[in-house]
Amino acid sequence: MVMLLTFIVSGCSPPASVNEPVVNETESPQEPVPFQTETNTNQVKIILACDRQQVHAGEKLPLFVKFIIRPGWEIQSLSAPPPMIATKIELELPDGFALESEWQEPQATLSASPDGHSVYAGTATFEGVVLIEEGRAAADVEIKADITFQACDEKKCLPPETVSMVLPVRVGE
Amino acid sequence: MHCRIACAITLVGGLIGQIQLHAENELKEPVRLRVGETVIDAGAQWGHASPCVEDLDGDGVPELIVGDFSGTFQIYKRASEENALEHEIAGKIQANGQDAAVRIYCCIGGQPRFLDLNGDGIRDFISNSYDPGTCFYFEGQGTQEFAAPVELVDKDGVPVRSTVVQDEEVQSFGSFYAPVDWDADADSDLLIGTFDGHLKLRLNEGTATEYVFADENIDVEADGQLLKVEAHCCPVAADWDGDGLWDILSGSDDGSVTWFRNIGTSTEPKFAVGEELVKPHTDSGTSGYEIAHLNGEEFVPGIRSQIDVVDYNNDGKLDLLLGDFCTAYEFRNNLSSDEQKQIEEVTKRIESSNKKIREAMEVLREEIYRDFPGDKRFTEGADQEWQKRYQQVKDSELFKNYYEKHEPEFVETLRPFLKRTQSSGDKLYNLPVSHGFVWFFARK
Repeated sequence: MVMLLTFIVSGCSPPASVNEPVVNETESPQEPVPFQTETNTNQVKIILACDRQQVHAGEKLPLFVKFIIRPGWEIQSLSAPPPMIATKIELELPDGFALESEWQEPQATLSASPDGHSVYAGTATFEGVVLIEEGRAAADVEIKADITFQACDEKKCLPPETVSMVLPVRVGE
Repeated sequence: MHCRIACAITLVGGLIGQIQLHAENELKEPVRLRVGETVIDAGAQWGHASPCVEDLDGDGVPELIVGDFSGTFQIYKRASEENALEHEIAGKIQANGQDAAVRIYCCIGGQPRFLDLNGDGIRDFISNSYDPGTCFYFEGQGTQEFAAPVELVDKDGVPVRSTVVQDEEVQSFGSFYAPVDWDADADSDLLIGTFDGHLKLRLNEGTATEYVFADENIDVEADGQLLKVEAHCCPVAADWDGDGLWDILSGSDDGSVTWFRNIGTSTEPKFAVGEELVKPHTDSGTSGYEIAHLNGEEFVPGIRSQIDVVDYNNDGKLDLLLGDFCTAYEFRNNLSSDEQKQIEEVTKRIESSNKKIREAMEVLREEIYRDFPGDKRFTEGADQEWQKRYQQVKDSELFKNYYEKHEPEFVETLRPFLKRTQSSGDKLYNLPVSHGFVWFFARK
């Protein structure tokens, strides 16, 4: 489910237009274009967001993946060793876009499971920076993310899930 | 493929119980089964060893088959007919030309149970699964090969599972299945041990050659109440006290094994209150994780006991085989007394720190469940309150100290003393190594 939402990713400066709908001027003036998408699973809500909709060649675009995890549930860290199902964020970026460095992970906590492995619970926001190369031509493009995670409580784990999310971005002139 | 000894009793109980059994239920000190000088250890597969005994090749000497967290089934042949403790690795059970496997990614091992479900004279086997938690049937092909697994279904085509009508797909996850001829009508009914520790029965309304499973479960009781072990009820039917009636024995999440004596009749089983044959795990005071053995301490059976009951040493008495799981630090040999003292100190501090954090988390969960009971827990309000409270705990001094100061210090202190670690990360969790041993409890 993709929908326009108020910008709520923590640790990110909201764009100036946070209270105004962002408008796609080239396709349909009436149709708002999200710079944030959300998907819901049973135990986890995931938000993929960037801090602005329009970028220019040579700029950096902060990108955020926020997990909102329901009470009593947790997901594994990015570095969870097998047999844990590590949380994974895989980006498919347009030509001329590149993730500048590894995702910045929030502080993990101890699992409710007695083995005490590292997990995220409550809210976990991952931050990355996408670099748009010099000379990148103007266009409407999409940042795609396949996000894999597994929700567990103190006794059991749910099946691993992969959700695909798409964030439209405009490369300006 | 015929089961020569007591595994037959395990499967069909009083019907073919031919061995003179003894009523005493005392067990000798357990020993771990070995391959040469090395103990069998499913640790590389995240443990959860799940033993079963079957004469796969029909040579009269039963093989040991060990399921584990990988969902596959490792075969071990005895090194000699007389020696029940030493084995040789003999590959994995094959189904449809590849390693037989069930889907497991949490909490249990694949538990094989052998039977002739379709009465064709060829032994088949069934196994549990974590997800979807249903019972998989591997039909025997007669050459130590098995057909591709199929999910057993009831007479309406619904998978046989611990929760017949499921509100959520996870409700039957992690169930355990064992054949039994409950009503002495010469076919195989199924015991279904549930993840939360209860036991159910699924009757076979068909025949010994054409199985047809009922479309409902029957709760199994003991002493007038629902039969229950702590969790992860892994049942076996076997005539433990040799009175001609099969009893139920069950492993458990806490590592214990409980015997439920059949005080009914051959056609109407009834069970007494459970008697503990193996106590819940405790080793170095742990719950089965991060065991720290120093001064030559030996392992004891771990948690998540999955069992089989057979006369494994051919002495005419049923024995207990127990597969387990634990994680333990693997220290270097020849540690000096000073080094051992350092380890003892740091492990005590780890235990104390973990305890405080766990208690804080437990309080957090209890409070949110109290403030948002029942379905209110699934509301937006509960979500928001949980995020807020969880963040407060994460921001507390207790947590900050642990993650910024104590955990790195613990890891730095322990790592030089370790021979190997489970994984290469810099968290405490990465250090202890997982194990899945197979313990042999001989009957006295």
